[in-house]
Amino acid sequence: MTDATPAISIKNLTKVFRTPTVRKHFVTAVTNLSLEVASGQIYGLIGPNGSGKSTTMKVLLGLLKPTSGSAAIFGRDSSRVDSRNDVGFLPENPYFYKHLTGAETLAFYGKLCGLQGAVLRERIAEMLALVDLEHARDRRLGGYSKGMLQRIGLAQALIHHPRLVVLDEPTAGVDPAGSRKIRDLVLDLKSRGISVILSSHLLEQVQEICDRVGIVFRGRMVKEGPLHDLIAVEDQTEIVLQHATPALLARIQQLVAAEAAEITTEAGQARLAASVVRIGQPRTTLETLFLQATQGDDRGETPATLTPTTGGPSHE
Amino acid sequence: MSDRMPSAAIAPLRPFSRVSPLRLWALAAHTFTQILRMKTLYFLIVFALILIVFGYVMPPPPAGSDLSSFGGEQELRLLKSVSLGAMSWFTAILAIAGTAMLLPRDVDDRTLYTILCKPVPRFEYLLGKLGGVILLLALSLLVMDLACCAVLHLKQSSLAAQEIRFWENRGELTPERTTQINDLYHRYGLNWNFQSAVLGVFLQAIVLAALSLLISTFATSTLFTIMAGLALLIIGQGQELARDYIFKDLLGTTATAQHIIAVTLALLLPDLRQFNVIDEVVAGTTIPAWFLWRMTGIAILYLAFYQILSWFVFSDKEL
Repeated sequence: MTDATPAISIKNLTKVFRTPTVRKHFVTAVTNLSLEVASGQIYGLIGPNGSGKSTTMKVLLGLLKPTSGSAAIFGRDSSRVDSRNDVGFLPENPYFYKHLTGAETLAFYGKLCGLQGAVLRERIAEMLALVDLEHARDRRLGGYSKGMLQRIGLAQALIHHPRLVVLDEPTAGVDPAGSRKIRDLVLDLKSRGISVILSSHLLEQVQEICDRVGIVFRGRMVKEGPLHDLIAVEDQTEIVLQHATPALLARIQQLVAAEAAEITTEAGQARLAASVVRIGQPRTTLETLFLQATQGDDRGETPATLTPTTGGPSHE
Repeated sequence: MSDRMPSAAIAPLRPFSRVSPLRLWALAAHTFTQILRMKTLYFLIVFALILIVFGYVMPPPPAGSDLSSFGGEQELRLLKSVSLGAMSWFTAILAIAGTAMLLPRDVDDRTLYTILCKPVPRFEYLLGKLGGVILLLALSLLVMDLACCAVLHLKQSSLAAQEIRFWENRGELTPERTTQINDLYHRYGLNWNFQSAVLGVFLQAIVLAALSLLISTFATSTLFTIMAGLALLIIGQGQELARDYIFKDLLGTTATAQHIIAVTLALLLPDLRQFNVIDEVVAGTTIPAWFLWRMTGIAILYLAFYQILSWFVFSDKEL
């Protein structure tokens, strides 16, 4: 289920903080940042620490007011309280009341979202089952491990059926198995049409699940677009063959060596003949892209041209 | 994690109400348990000790002494004075300290993020917090009130019986004297007038709680909020004197100027004497109903004023 209205629309966002010093000092956290997340899309916002990701998310959640520019959730200004009706938020470190039990925590957040009675009770049971914390429902959060806190955080973010989920480092502190489950859950949310924006330092995971990525560096969006476009190396072409015989490869190499302009793609359908699986551009990794994009110096030099990951046969 | 997924991942847009009693109650009830679990009610034990000391440990009049000259009502007055005074200070300190910790703690622990990321308007958050404190104040005051009433009743009955026995032993007990004794102890002992003083204590505490919440919206630390609250508690008790000093000794102001200064002062620094009827109740003076209504009205005005001011500061606070 998709909607023409973007889940998130941030336009020319700038956020300047005034530091509480004797002489007025200003710090620009975000400069002229724009991004759009289509309904049902998974968007990865990545950047080094202090790059402005959290500030952007806080503006989106109405915790900060933009100095200039705008942020909207499903077309509604994010500073409006009713825009939060459609948002679930999982903070990086789980900030919950430690004296409450798992079930009490979900009940508290559920009530804040207008749920009550049997509907709330049913939803709490559903969410605890979803994050596999049924066994700890009556245990206080003070006794939860970091991974469990992250999971109860995810449950509270989803308690009111949000159409958009904001995840700040969703797998921070979670073991690999739990991390994979959260990844699967995010993909499942997408299959149900729920939009997701997440920030993460686990670039492999971002690459694995995100449709679109934005790289923020020193408050500016330095790269933004569909993941496949971003990690494509523009001046190279990738040919992936299936069941290629050495002879065929030799022929291709001869053709390349002879700088032949024609590429023959005869597909043998009857037997295990060679067939072209994909012709396109080889990919670098998101990690390489990220590092290259964020290696500019203080003068704001443009990062170098992208290079593919070395060593992989498809990139040569 | 389970493979089970939410039954309906995408819900239609829900209607949003700007003021929701359910949200307010959720916030208030949570605040109530939050303060309760801070073990703030330990002061009730101290209060109970004070009651025991002044109710039972203090020596009763010696047997056979001339109760007509001793005046058992003095003992009741002392008990009432001490217990109402203790009630007043304990609830005032609970109101200031309990409220001062709420907002800074939510900001420090960043639990505020998870609350305000839900469809919760900021004024509702503040109102919920204040509501929780008021609930706790009401409950703790109820406990103290019940304990006081029980001790007063027992003390009053015991003293009245002792005096009746005294006159009986002298063979001078008449029905008129019995009525007179009962009326006297009822006047200085437990009566509905006692509840007027408790109401005053409660109103003073909720005004202080609202004021502490206001201070905590801009204060940089919990300690500052507590110290400022305590300072205002002391200033509030002597504001009437300060006003007299300003008007009579410092300024030769006109009546209008005096009125404006008085109202401004009274709003910024609450005049807590208006809620203090302890002395009158201890003296056995009946507090008229209109005075109680007026006292309640003033407290509501203070609450509304401080709450609006808190929201004004907090609505633009960057988190």
